[in-house]
Amino acid sequence: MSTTDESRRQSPLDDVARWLDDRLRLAEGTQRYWRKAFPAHWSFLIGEVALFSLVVLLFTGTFLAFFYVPDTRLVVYDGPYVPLQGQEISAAFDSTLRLSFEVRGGLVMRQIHHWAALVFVAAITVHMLRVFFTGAFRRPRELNWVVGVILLLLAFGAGFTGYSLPDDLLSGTGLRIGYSVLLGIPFVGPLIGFIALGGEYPGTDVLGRLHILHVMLLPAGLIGLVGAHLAILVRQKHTQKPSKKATNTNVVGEPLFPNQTLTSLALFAFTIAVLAMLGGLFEINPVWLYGPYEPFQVFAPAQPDWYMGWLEGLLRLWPNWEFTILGLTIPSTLLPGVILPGLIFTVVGAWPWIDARWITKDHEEHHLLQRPRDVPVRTGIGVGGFVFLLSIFIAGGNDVLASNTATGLQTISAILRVGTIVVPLLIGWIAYRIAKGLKENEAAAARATRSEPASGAQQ
Amino acid sequence: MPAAAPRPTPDRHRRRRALAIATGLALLVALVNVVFGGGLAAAQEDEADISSDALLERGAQIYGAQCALCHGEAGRGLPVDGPDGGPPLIGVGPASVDFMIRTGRMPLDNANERLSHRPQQMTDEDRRAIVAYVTSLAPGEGPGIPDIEGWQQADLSRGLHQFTTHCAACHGPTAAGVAVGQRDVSSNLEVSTPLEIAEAVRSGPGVMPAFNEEIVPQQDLEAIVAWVMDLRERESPGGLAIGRSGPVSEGFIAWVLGLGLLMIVMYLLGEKADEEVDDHGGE
Repeated sequence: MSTTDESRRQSPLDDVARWLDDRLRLAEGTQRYWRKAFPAHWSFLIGEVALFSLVVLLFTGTFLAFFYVPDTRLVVYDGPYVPLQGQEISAAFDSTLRLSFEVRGGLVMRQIHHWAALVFVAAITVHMLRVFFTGAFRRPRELNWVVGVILLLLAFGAGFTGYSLPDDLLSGTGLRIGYSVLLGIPFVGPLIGFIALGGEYPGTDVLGRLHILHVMLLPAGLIGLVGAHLAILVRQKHTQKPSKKATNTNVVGEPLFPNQTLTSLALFAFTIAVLAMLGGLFEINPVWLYGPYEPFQVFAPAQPDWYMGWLEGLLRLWPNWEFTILGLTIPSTLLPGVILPGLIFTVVGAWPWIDARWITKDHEEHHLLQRPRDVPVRTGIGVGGFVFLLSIFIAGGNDVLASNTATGLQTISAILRVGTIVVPLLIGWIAYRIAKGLKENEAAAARATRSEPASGAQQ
Repeated sequence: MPAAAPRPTPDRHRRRRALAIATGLALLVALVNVVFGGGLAAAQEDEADISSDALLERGAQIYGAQCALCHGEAGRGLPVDGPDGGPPLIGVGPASVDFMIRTGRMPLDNANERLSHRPQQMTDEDRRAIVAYVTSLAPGEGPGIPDIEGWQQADLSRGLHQFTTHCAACHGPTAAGVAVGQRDVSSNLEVSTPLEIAEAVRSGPGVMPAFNEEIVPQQDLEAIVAWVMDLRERESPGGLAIGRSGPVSEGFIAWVLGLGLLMIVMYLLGEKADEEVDDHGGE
């Protein structure tokens, strides 16, 4: 590789490239990677939007970390925002206000960061729906499905720790709810709570701990697992829609260079543009209106960011059942706050195995995608599960919904309680019937064409 | 030019000119009203407060005509089940009566209607007459109409703190209002005047608790008013705030505008269902 042919030297860049290649052997296999195939269909780009949002999150987050102080000690606010001047607030809230009103570009960075977080989880959700309904999680990709589910959990964690940091009244309320759910876990809950807060509620250490989680551990986990997610993807190659060219034994797609590189760069640029537009034009989390966190204050409506809405909704919908078994009191938050979410995520994480064992009874390797109609049972369960999550998500905003629809709050809650159980079953069943009908119609049509000798050219 | 349109005749011209002059005069009158009208209204208000006997008599009359049907004779209430049975008004205090009429919540045409903010349903003088009459049924009882002249000088910082302590639990941090029970929705304070806010605090309309001087001293009352007005008038530094209902509207924007736009971009960038993959594909 290290040729000394002067005639082929075109620019000083060649010297640098050659110097690097001599030492790192970069050219080896380059052709192979430049030509790595990428799926061309647009629905495969949604995962990239999540990835690019994460990149935006990392950069804006680094900027924010330069100015944020995770300190609960009280200081007197003397910044430019008049309605808080002279109030005793925590140094953390003070630094958030300084970041918003005094640091040049600070507010727009904070807003882009927050919008990016909302879009990040939204993109993950849609990506996951695509993978689920096309059966892209089947063997050999079960592992990457699990990695993806853990990524989603980490994203929830990063979001929750992130919006808890400003120490305003809304974030404090969210933290208080989380802490109460934690306390409700038998035996270990109070101890974990004590350790997390560094003492009794509200504690002095919690912001420091959330901060380290938010800026170090969770991003490290996210980056590491995104790396693993992509490495597994490259290793296993992508799934594809069956076509004349794409079969179960080949991989058809666009080469990394130049096609996919241009597509991805364009999408990256658009992701940055949309997030910057949101951050520049739309107010998000105006903590200066909420005021500093005081344990004795609370306001309504108090919702978490959208991706935690389903957890909030479960807590709101769950009846106030508290029972005592063998002297152990099970508080009403344990089932909706811990056990049910844990159950939901266990089922989601284990779905590839559930699917193979009980639904398709198919343990073969698959590289071709399915259509939702191909496995009606999976489609029915998937749609039903999605509607269930949607319904408890809506319940998380029951008070806002009640005032906007001029319906009684209790009426809305009663409708949602019943609806959360009935509607998913109903819509899941309808989805199952539709998928089954489509599948049977197709099979019938295929039989009809096969039995007609005139159209034998199909073979 | 449409052929059917007739040319303006001289007569038409004259009529048009007359119309223009009339419009101009009307505008001038409106302008004078805007500039001096406030002062005139204030002067009338002072005048009306003086003649108390006539006012009481007038109040009794209007009360009999518009209120007694539900609130009973002489404010004693109507002990009837259902929406027609209005609560007694003896001792509710001037702030309550003034608030209810000023914000158009009373008088109701139909007792089944829900109380909501409307334009005032009678003249200012009639309102004062009713307030005077109902107050005379139990003089000195109940909260009086608060004097909040000084609200513009009040401490905003105190206002934010007091609002969050006493009001935000139901009205929300941005005073946007939210459902607080089966039948009740806390008011959106977007259209409330400073006096209406103060009267509501003191008198506690509907399910809202009344906050007396001990809980919310005069200074805090003015501060709360100042904060609510600031909340409405201060330019939002972060940009457009749709509905200001916190994470609910934010999540909506993130999905519809954020991911929605990106989905369109993805659709335009990627290959559609009926297109075939290019031949120069990778391995």
